[in-house]
Amino acid sequence: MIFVRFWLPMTLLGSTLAGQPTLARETPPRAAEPLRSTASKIYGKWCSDCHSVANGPGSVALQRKYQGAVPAILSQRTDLTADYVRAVVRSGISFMPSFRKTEISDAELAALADYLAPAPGAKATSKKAAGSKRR
Amino acid sequence: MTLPPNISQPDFTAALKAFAAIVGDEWLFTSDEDLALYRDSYSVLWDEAEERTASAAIAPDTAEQMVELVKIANRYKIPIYPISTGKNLGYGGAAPALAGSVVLDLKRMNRIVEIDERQGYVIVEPGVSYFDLYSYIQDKGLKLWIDCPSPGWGSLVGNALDGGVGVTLSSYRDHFGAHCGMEVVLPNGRMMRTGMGAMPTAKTWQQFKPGYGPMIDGLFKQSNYGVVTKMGFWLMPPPEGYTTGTVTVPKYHDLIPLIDIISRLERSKIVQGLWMLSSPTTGTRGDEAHLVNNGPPPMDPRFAVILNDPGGADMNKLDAAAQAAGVPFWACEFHLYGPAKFIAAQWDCISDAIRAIPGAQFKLNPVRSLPLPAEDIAPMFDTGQLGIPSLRTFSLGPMISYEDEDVVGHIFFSPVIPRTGEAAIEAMDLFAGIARKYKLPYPPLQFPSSIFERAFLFAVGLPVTRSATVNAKIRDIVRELVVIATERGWGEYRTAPAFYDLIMDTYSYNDHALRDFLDSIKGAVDPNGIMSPGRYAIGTHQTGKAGG
Ligand SMILES: Cc1cc2nc3c(=O)[nH]c(=O)nc-3n(C[C@H](O)[C@H](O)[C@H](O)COP(=O)(O)OP(=O)(O)OC[C@H]3O[C@@H](n4cnc5c(N)ncnc54)[C@H](O)[C@@H]3O)c2cc1C
Repeated sequence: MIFVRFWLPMTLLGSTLAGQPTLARETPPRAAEPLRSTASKIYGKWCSDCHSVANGPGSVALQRKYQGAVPAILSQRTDLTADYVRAVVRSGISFMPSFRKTEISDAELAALADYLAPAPGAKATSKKAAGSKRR
Repeated sequence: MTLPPNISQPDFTAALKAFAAIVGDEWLFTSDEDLALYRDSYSVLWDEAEERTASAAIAPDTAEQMVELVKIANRYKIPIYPISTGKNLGYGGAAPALAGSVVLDLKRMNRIVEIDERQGYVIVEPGVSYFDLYSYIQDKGLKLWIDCPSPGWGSLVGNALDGGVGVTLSSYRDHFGAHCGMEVVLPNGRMMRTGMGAMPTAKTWQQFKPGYGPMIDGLFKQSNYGVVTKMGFWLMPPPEGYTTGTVTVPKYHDLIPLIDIISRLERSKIVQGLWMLSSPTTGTRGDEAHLVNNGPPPMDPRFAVILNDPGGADMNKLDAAAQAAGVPFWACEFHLYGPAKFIAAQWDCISDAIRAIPGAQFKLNPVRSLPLPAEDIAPMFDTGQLGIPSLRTFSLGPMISYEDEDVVGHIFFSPVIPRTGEAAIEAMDLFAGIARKYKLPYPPLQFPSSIFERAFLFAVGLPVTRSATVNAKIRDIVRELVVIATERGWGEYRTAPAFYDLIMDTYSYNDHALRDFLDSIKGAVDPNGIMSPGRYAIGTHQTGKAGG
């Protein structure tokens, strides 16, 4: 097909990378696993480009800061707390700017915080795989 | 709660209530905590009295809601400030130009309204980011390429309206220049379409930029005459092949004929992709030199001592040292696109022309078919040249601290200089001198960028910290830079809100005729001065009689 013409809003096309309101308009997932997959999508959309590979700017900055004392790749860290993740996303840190609620909603941030800093006993199963979503 | 200037509490409360009735309470933000998210993370006025912060933020979902919001703003004379994705870092972020404005956050308006592979265009709403559009095209398998600025999270609309630029072929790099038609909500709440879009039955809105009558799209670039709710962009077919080729020339002053030759090739459309200047004497700056794991090649100690001379780097000495060591002074990396035989022909023409410079050397890398495999893309410093958005630019190396303060971002000083070797040399000397004088965290030599087709951009990123003292020093450096650039006839193409007035004042031909004309338009289309007051310093002067 050489001719494609769409009039559909992104929100109807189910693209994983449609903007945050898409997710906000959907019914929040109840079970733990869908929540994790929502969180991994949010991570893939907003965090992974900087934080999932060793040469990502976030990884480079964390390597510089901690000199290997904690993993430079965010999803490999075990020392994060949910509060800390929330605070950094909303306040920004170093070159990372703050993220607005129209970008990452409170509900999404809660899922993301839980994903990066799971409560004890609920360790992530697929965190490491989540990073490569974007390309 | 902060109030907009000259607005009473009851009026503000009533306006917010009316706004919320349009968008829903959930999308009206008024708490301090929420409004902190609309601060400019890279503000050079952070926590100072002059920092521009919002009094509220509203996030509509549709252009129709926007019409209603603008009408309400007009009724109560509330200053509003639309942002698309609000990622204008280095030039203002999501913060308004005038403190107390209500930010209209268009991030929720994230629809790809129309995409046409056959005719190569897309119409987007403001909240669509380059990442969004790229993923959409990939998911659908469309044969289209986008051109994006270095950070992929910005929007097509916001970037184009701020005069932003990308990195592929020259006709797509100028994002405003690559747009075709827009839909705008005017300050009186009326919706308008430009170009052929003004004809309700038009079949060519996205094919014919001039439209009928005066071409007014330009009025919405770096201005405050309306909220753009849809904008069309011309997209590029994916090239069959891609490669880079490097030319080196031995002597410092070879830069002058080199740039003349390349500029002629560019005006002949033989050079079409971005080309990047670097110097092997300082460690090459090409993409390869940026690979984080390898870093730029270490500088030869014989050159380092000359470059880091506290009295100033003497280029004649460096020239002699480079020639003695047999190291070429300049390298120029070309990005080449198209079928292999077209790339070969372009490279032949480039080599034939540059061979006029004695000692010029040429290296063409193998032409690769596109798309490249993921494992080849992964280690690249920037993927923008392949039409792939990323955030890799944020690993900008050396800016970690300045004056013992952590660097949290930067503001850009962005003068446009002539595309001649003479101007490039003058600018490099001048900015290296400023960097030395203020011990700025830069490599000892920076290079102009060939991003515009007929002029150089010499963007200098100045470090922003959370210290008011250090930031005040940075603002002084910007003022000094503006004075010395203006003396030489180099105007800035874009700036952060803290410097809007400063820069507008430099465009003063015939007693500020341009500024007065812009102010007159402002007064006519926005008599209440509600639309992005202060943006690019339009409408804040006496002559235009504009409000705000
Ligand atoms: C490390 C780094 C590298 C960068 N590299 C580049 C680069 O290569 N090229 C480049 O161009 N920039 C670059 N920038 C600058 C900036 O980050 C980008 O230009 C970014 O795309 C702008 O953000 P945005 O698209 O979200 O625009 P927004 O913040 O959404 O918009 C910019 C401004 O335009 C106005 N505006 C936005 N939407 C509307 C609307 N719908 N109606 C009316 N007015 C509107 C508003 O005043 C807004 O503040 C860089 C910045 C950094 C920090």
